[in-house]
Amino acid sequence: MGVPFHPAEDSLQTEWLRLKSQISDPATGWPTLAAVLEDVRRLLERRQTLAVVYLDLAGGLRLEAQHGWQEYDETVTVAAAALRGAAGLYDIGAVMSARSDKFVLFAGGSGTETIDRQSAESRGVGLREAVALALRGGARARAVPLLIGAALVHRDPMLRAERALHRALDEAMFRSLRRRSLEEEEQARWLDSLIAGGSMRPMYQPIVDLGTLRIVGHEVFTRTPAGGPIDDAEALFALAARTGRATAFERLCRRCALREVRDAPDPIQTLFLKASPAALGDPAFAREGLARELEGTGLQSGDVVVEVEERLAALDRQAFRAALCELKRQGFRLAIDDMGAGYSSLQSIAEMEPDFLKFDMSLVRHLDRHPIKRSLLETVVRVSGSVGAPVVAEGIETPAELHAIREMGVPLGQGWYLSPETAPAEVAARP
Amino acid sequence: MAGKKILVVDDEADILHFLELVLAERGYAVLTAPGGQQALAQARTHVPDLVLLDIMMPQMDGWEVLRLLRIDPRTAAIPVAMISARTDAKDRVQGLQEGAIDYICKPFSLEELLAKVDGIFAQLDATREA
Repeated sequence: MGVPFHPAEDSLQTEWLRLKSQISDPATGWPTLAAVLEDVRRLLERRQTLAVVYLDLAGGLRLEAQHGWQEYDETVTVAAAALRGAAGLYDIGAVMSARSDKFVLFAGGSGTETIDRQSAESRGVGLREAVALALRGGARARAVPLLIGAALVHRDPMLRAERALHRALDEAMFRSLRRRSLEEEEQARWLDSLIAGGSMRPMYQPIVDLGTLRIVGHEVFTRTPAGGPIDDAEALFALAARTGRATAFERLCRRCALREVRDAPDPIQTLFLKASPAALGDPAFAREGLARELEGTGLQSGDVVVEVEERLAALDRQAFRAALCELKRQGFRLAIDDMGAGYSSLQSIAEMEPDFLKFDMSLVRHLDRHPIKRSLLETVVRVSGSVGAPVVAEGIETPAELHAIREMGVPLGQGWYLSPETAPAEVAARP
Repeated sequence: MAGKKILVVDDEADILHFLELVLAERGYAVLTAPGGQQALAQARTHVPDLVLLDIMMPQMDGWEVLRLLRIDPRTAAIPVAMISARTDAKDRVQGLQEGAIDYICKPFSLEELLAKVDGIFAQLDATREA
């Protein structure tokens, strides 16, 4: 007897895997739109009218670029679970395609309930609230902009069901975009009122010498005012950048932070201040803007470290470099904020002559279990040695992370485990 | 004195238990932690009025705990008294330099300990009123 050989079985297996990748999303386990169309057609026949709700975790690119794909998959999975929980028993859900962060839900109602435009609309709003709630309550409370749109599809004997469904889906997508632009206009007006109000509450997070465990400086954050349409600082700054308000908004946040420093009872040592590419792109900022803002605060330029995100400045490298040179000339120090994100070459980092390299621990979460992540951090530590700029590890959240980061010889760190961001009043409240 | 919250940190279960009994009987509310990490978690959640902190502990020693308490604004103001079997003057000096308010040597007698803790609170209240 010869060696058993099963060509038919082998190719079936391959074919199955190929097909599977087309009909289901590996992260969420949800079927793709193509896979559910037949079921939806039957549901439409039974119920005559369906609501088509489209939900897009917009801003996914930003989240994935900043926090890594693992975290993004986690976010998508949390959203999918929340959608499933909030959907009706007979609703059919799908992802637009595998690895997509766009969901669609077909709802026909139950019993004698009929679907009309209003109920489709409120269905959409309800689903969005459920997803937003789940994302806020998740392990990492990241604000993800959720776009939602709803449309109706009626059974029409003259029209092929697939075509009617696609048409309704197009309408739902269009509505989601229109809703977004309306919401963004409203948010921009709110941002304008914040800027006009002239008061943002700063928060400070200690930066700690990991050898001696002493505070060597503070990074400035901005507390997002309650009651507005945005409750996440990252999203607020992103909105400011998208709507051309970055320079004004950042100036306000800086001014408020510096004013608080002046009034603080405890001297705040070195201050780490973020500057967006928009701020750096404003020629006045580096030339005299920042120096002037320090007047009357008791801080010298040498007390301030300007944090820049190198990868975001790639668009106008010339102006960016010029601004950094000017700041350094005036005695400000420089930190590169997004080390390890994988955008900056060693050469371009060295050229910037930074004084600190900041590294976000969320990029190396579970350092012990991921050799690739570990080597990412090792590279940054090595670069730090050759550039002569110490590493600051951001986002230290557990004792294990603190331990690992100290073992690797990272000299400086900050994070929730060491101390959360606090308002100056709370810092000052010492008996 | 009654109602004041004291966090006792010691890796030796016997001592931890002894301190808990004695201080609770005196009318203090007592929290315990068998190690540095548990101590930090307890301190951040419950913000005690005093921490009695053993210096010699495996994994994270008392100095490390003290420094981590001082970094976090939520715990920075909590008075800490160090406990150690060592009678070395160096520890005493280091303790004061690192911001500990007092120093208790092991082994201690019951009366000695209570007098010390009562004394610490009396002194804290006096400075607060002044």
